[in-house]
Amino acid sequence: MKAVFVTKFGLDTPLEAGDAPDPKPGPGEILVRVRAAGVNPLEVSVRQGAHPSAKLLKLPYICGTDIAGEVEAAGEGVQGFKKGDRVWGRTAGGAYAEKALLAAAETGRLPSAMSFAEGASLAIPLLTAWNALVIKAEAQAGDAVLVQGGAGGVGHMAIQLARRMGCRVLATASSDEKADLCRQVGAEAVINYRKEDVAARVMELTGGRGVDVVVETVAAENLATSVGLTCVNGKVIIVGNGTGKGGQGTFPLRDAMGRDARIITLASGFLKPRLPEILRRLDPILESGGIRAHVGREMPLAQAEEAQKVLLSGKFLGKIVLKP
Amino acid sequence: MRAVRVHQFNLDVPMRLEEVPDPRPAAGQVLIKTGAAAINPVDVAIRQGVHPYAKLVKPPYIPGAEAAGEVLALGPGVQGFQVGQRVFGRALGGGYAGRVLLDARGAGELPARYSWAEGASITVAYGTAWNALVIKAGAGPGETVLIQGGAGGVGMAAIQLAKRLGCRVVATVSSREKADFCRGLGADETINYKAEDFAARCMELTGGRGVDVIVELAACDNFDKDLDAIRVDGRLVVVGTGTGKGPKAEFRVPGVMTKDVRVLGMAAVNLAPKMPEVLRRLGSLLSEGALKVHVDRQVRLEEANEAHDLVLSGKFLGKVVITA
Repeated sequence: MKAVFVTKFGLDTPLEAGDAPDPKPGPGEILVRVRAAGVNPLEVSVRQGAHPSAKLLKLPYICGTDIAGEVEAAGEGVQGFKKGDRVWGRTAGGAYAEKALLAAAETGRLPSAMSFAEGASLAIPLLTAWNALVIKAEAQAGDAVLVQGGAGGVGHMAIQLARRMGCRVLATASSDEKADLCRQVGAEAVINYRKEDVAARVMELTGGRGVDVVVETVAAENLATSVGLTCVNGKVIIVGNGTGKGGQGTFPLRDAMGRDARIITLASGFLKPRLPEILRRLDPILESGGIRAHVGREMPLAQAEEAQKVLLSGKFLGKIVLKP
Repeated sequence: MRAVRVHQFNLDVPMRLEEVPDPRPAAGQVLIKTGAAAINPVDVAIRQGVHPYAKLVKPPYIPGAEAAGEVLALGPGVQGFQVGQRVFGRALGGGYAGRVLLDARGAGELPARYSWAEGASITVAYGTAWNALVIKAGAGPGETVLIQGGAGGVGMAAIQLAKRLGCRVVATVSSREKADFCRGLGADETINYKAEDFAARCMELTGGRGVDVIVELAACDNFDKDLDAIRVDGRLVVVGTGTGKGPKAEFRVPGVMTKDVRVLGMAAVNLAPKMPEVLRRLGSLLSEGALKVHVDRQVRLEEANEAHDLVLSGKFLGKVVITA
């Protein structure tokens, strides 16, 4: 099969197209013909070599984690999936490829109304939003939730999920176009952080109280100020560092202490044992069209390098998806 | 009455012992004849003007957040106290004085086994330790708790309280004398942070897993490394920045992303409404004599400036108190 490889850590070495043997499904696994692969900040950070999971990979490796496609074969002991079923999920063996394996217990069913491109936009974005809002923040109806970076992959999912949970949603974005997307998917108010004073606007919109929950997708840049946007006992859930950003952040100790704030981090790896339960609960929501993915760019698999450059530029809406 | 007053937010300007009018108890207040008042690091930080609570006072003001003594008078509507009763609690309007007003919600009866000096040292140390371990971290039996700064007032209380909760306690200290002190209070392990890498030691002591809970009293110095010492799903309670330090700490963003960590801030102002319940529950432990108070130094009002120097130096064990 054709696949796109990382041959060396660091963004200076371009991704490389090549051939790889078709993967074979082991017990509990299904082989999927990939129809779309999602492009996420995670694989860029892993490719940079800075991310801890980079240590677990041996070069060259196939880039990416999120796919949607059709079941081609099922391994031993797999029940409930047959050839041709439309599925989505997160693969361990690389997503930028024509075929990939999914663990059957961690595989979602793709509703017929959703395209493969949408399906490839779910795994990291929607599961991270779930982890942040349902598991970590335990957000409740009536909570005010601020989604920092509302027009990105995780951001636009978090807006929709928070709305489904009965929350009031505020979002930040860097352009009018991005603000429109945030509003389209359910944000009540959008703050353009390039033009407006985010703290002043948040306080204005919450009557001076602050928000109950901040979903922070750009922690390296924002954490120093986002803790100050919460109410007493408020929560900041750190879901991302900011694409391609890294290194040091500033933790506002006094802001955290003064308002009894809870700053909670999460890593997707620890979600694994809970995936069957999460998928069971997401299934009816996706089936009813309650959450949709916005695919801003679809590009052929061969343009993976360019797709990641677009991701790093921030000049896209929602998701970027590769089509093999 | 005689009272020590701060005339300027500046440690170079000595506090003055002066004659001022006796305070009168308003609604919700109890007036006491001071047996002793505790000197806490926060008193020094407020006097420096760097602490947020400095905004709540205007020089000249009487420093001191807690005291113990005999009830002289009750404010209108105050119930549950009698004139002549031995009490301890949170001071309103300063503690370094011959007469002190206590917040009735934050005051309790002082069991006969505790001296005035011990009684004056309970509220801040044990209230803070309770907030950190019980309310914020929810520390439970069998968990390993790291207490960063075990030999100060809050450290002293946290070691004993964590042991009562069934935890294994590791305390960090800066000298052999402090290590002996912490072990005497019940600490299972001590780490001299000047001689050893505390994060590496914590990993060693927990079989590579990391500690479950960190009670952090010097976050400015330790925050980044705490993230190395803590386990996945651990709770890091930020109790203090370190005497005279703040308001921010630098940290490695990728370090925080790989663990599902909860960073929990807390402040005494937000604990105040919960104090009656905290005191009720602490009260049963106090009446059993289960919680010891170690008073290292007892000074007179005339020696307040020297006592602040001592607290700032960190060269004391447990508590420093002042008597009228």
